[in-house]
Amino acid sequence: MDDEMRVKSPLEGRIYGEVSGWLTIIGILVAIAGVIIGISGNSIFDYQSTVKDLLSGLNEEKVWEKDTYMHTELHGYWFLTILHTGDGIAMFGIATVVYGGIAGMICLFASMFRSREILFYKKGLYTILAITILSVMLLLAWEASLH
Amino acid sequence: MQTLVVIPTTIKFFVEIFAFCFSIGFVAIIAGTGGGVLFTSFLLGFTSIHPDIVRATGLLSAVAGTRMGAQTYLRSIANIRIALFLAAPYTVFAVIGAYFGLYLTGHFGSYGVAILKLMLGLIVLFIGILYIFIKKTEYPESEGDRITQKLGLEIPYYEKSLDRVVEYKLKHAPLAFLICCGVGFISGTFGLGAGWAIGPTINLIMLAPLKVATTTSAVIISIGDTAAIVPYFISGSLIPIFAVPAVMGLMVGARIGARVAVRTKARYVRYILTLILLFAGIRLVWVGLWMMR
Repeated sequence: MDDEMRVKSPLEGRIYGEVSGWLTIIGILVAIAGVIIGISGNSIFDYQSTVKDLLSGLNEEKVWEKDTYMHTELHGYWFLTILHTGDGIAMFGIATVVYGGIAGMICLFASMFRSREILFYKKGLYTILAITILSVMLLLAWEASLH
Repeated sequence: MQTLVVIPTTIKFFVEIFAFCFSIGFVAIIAGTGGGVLFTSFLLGFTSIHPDIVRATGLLSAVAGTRMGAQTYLRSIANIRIALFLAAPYTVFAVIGAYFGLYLTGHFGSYGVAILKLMLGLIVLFIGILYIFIKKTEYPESEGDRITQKLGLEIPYYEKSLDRVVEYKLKHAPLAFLICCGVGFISGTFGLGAGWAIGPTINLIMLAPLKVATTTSAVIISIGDTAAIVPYFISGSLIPIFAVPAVMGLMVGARIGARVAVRTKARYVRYILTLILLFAGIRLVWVGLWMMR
């Protein structure tokens, strides 16, 4: 038991795991609720033709254009404007899953600032690695907001 | 706003996707791998669903499954330093791969899809053969090497079954770093996940204990594929009626499979998995070549 306590894994890792893990669970539950609401009628899709078009190999652009009442290709965070529909809620859930990892990395990075020893461990190598990963993630999320 | 006229078709589709993905998650976890490889290769080889949609959903499944694992693993065994060290190249190249995959299908149309299927077929065949020959080692012996020791990657962990702290020394960190560049690219391009490569890399090349390798590989995939999925998310490749039952099925299948796994001879399941992969790989190559003609 003493050994178990002595080698407790680093806090930054545990924080990443908890934040991203819980956001993933919440996101999946929201997405499931959204799809159930969508199937029961409150949907932007004509599901019957969506299923047919998915199975016939139409790409995502055509599916969005042809099978939603919006009749347009949807990019970025479009779902925020239709959160009153099942598909809006489902996409919000999926977005929570996707961005849960980014939230986890932000918390991991922030937790590195709790001591100089951790922040500059091995000349700050792990801090630089965390910054690199986080920058890529944030750049992509920002790009999504431009669409 | 349109409302549904025929609900049963949708529900049937939802249940079929769930059941299919449940079986994949169930078999894959018993064989000791993630479901990403099976999911993507099967759906691309045997259905007409567009590759962008399949790959995006494959990545979402990989992300969701590995994150749930990472939450538990990072409390004890998984090594966050190895994870950050290998997740950095994996992330960058997974994003490049994701854009490359979208470029192929977006700019070359059905020819791009054919190339994608052909390449995926060859990779799946390679993974199938890899499963035959890879022999994982529980506690590899290693003295470490100078460069790897300088990185300070090792974090000892408490092993309950031995009731002691396990310390280990790692080797070949630069080689593992390079391998993760390639694996990240493949994962992002094909939406495969990367459990088939990263676990063995940490275990057999860096010589980390098997438990550290498998748990840390889940953390790396959870970080890297988070970035890789964003381009697909932006481009609208995640369609709820397909993505949600697929992710649910894979996760529930993996969870139940994990319970069955302790009572099953994994070796035989691995042989079955290898056969399935070889079959799916040959089919993908054939479909790719046929489409190119």
